[in-house]
Amino acid sequence: MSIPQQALRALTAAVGARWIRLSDAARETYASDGLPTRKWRPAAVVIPSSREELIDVVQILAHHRVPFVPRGAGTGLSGGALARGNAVSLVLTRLNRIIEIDAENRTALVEPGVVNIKLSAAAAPYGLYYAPDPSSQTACTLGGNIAENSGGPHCFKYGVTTNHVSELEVILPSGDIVMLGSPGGDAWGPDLVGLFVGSEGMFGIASRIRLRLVPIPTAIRTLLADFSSLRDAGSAVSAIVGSGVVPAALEMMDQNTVRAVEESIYAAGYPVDAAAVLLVELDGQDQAEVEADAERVKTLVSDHGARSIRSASSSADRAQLWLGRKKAFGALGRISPDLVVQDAVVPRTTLPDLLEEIAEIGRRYDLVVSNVFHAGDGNLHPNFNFDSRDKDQAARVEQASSDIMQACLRAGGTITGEHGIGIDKLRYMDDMFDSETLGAMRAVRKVFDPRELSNPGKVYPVHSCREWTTAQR
Amino acid sequence: MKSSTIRDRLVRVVGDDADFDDTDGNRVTAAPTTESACAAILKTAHSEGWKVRFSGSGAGPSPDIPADLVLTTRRMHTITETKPADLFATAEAGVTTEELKRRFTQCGMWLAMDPPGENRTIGSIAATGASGSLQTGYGPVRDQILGLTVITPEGRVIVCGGRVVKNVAGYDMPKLMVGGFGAFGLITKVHLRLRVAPETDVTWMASATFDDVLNAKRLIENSAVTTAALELRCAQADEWTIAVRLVGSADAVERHGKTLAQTISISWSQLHDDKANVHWAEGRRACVLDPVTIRLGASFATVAWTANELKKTLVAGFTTIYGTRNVIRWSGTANADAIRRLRSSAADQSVPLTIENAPWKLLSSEGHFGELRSGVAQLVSSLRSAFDPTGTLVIPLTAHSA
Repeated sequence: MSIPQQALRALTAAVGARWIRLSDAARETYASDGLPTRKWRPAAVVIPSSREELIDVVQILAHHRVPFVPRGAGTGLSGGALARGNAVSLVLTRLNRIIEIDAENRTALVEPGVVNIKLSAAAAPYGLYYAPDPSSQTACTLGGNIAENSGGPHCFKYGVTTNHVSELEVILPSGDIVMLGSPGGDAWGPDLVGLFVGSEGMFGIASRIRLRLVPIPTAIRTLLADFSSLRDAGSAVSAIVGSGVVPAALEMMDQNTVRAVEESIYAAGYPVDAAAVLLVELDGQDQAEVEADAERVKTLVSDHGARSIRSASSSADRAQLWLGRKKAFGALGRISPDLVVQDAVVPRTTLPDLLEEIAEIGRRYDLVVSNVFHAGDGNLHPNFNFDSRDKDQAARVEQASSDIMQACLRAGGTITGEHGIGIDKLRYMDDMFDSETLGAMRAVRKVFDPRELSNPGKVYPVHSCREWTTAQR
Repeated sequence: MKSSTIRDRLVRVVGDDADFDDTDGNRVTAAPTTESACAAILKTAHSEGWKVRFSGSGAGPSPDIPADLVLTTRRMHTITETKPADLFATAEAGVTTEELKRRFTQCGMWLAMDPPGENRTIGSIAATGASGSLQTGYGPVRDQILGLTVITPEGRVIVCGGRVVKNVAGYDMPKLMVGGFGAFGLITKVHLRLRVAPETDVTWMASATFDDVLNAKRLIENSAVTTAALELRCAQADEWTIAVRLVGSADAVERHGKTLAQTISISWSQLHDDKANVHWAEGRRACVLDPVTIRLGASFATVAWTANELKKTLVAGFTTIYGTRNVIRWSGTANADAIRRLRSSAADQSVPLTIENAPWKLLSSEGHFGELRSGVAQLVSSLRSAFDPTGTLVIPLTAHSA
């Protein structure tokens, strides 16, 4: 399918011919994101360079009723940034200005294409940083983080993206512009910022984003504890959380992950014979408090079977420990042509049982499963190495993923904690929500986007949504 | 329509699933015990064209809101699930804060929420989104709510969010509901995020001028002191107090207390348990005693301006400023004109003013949120139409919307 010539001419006038990509090869570049099991090729790729160009583009698309899919760096893991049919991929990476660091108010005003980690770098001279740190933070964009309500290892203490957004300028799919929230963060009316964050690009595009910054912790202790069983490691997590100590991060990696990391350029010195390792970070502004908490954590993990505990001896050592964790997906990715990174959340106390069930699911489908995840939040990331050219293996990956989702739902959890629904999780939505609730989601989306032009085909399975009328009063 | 007719109609619909009271002759109060009864009552009201308002324990919004039917959750008062090891609990909307506190204390847990008012229900707290001093350290009410069940005026039951701390399955509908003043439906059940009860809980307090407490606030916010609550309070003209709540291990709390005393040179005193409890309870009570309660969402840069503008525009009232979030709550007596002027000048500084409670006459003319910003008013109106297409609910979110 193609988009109308009139629309193309108008788009060309808006952004320049160079920034509209129509060739097969160019469109193929944008046919994937971080989800290897789906490929959708957009009708065109449009790459505006400024807020003004972006507004023009959305207005043109709205006028010609051309659907579009906002896209940041394409690091998403649920297929949320994929466009097909006559939909345009609207790439926001050139809107990458940090407009303002307001140290007094501890906020930053940014464009959606700013790469996550660059904001913290820009805020550092003021003693501030941006807390949410997805593993892809060296590449992912803040606009994408807003769309997905992204998390990350340090969200255990500091909260996820939604806890750090105070105000948004949004270009609605109609091309109209609205301001949501307030500079101080209190809602201005119903909490539409909270509603917008995590809406997966289906309510419009956040063209300017005001984010909260927090003081850089002056005291940090990073511990690595290793265990001879996953169950012990899971129990240690529950013990830490139940003790009242609130680590900045509480991450777990299983043996398959540890070995992949240690065999890669990201080797961090993790013990390869361990069944699991826990990476625990404590931070704050009070050195004595951080040290006391670290000692308490050491005691707790020892009591729950830790074989050894390593404490980062320097900032370089800490960085190395974290490099292994943050690049674990990269390390796993080099093992096979394809890697599926799954995402689900369960109550923490069910982690040991779930990890055993996931291992059993892997055996059932003759697949290797690796786990690297945010244990403190109960946020699992089971990963499957596979070769998508092997159709049978790819089908087994899909089935195993489905079984894991059902297991997590049975445990009282959710089908995604930070990657979003996109297209990958669409098939599980009616396992989690009834038709009335799905209908409510669609009704809310239609308030922002009555013609369902922005990121069509994501989040809710239309056939499962009960009909809602949107009668005007 | 006569209240007895409404009652008879509802009795036919829900039978024994609800208590009814129509003694005031003008309206019926229905107190169901189940979600299905709530749904049936709302659906009937919607189809009959009755006007409905919601109520919790009765301590919430003005009782003079005109409605044919008051739907109260006061008999839905069960804590259905408590999972201390998962830091999670589920409560029906009619459970009061006192009951939650009692139950969670028994198992060493804590709900980091201290909303204004006494004996309020968790449904009412969620609906108003009104946060107290603990928002400094733990975020506002919305951050303590993982999921909830809402019943729309058409009787649709919507299950929003979930029971775990991270969840991005579908849109974040709880955010729309929390602080929506019930305009999108009746909250009947709430999933709560719990925390481990702190080992030590100490309050430090000092009295000083406004400038001095504001300066102390700034110094604390930029210090190594980690505060659970940081509150500036003015109960009488120009007499301000600053109170700091420190929680955690005994060692940490003692150290933070020392740092506090060394960093800020005003006359601090440490309040013992009883006095500390009284101090915080008085604050919660006092900010809902007067007929009008408003909230201003300032920022670090605008908090001083906002407090001064408040003083200039409204008569003396009970004023509270919550540290770090820079939210100001004021309770007193005010007329529509004064609220309008303050709202307008605050809006010029990008500070939203929310009326949390007021007599019906004021609330209906000014709305909880006033005139929303360009484009937002249309979104909110459309959202209301989606959830309440015939305007069953008497909730004036915006100016002149009643």
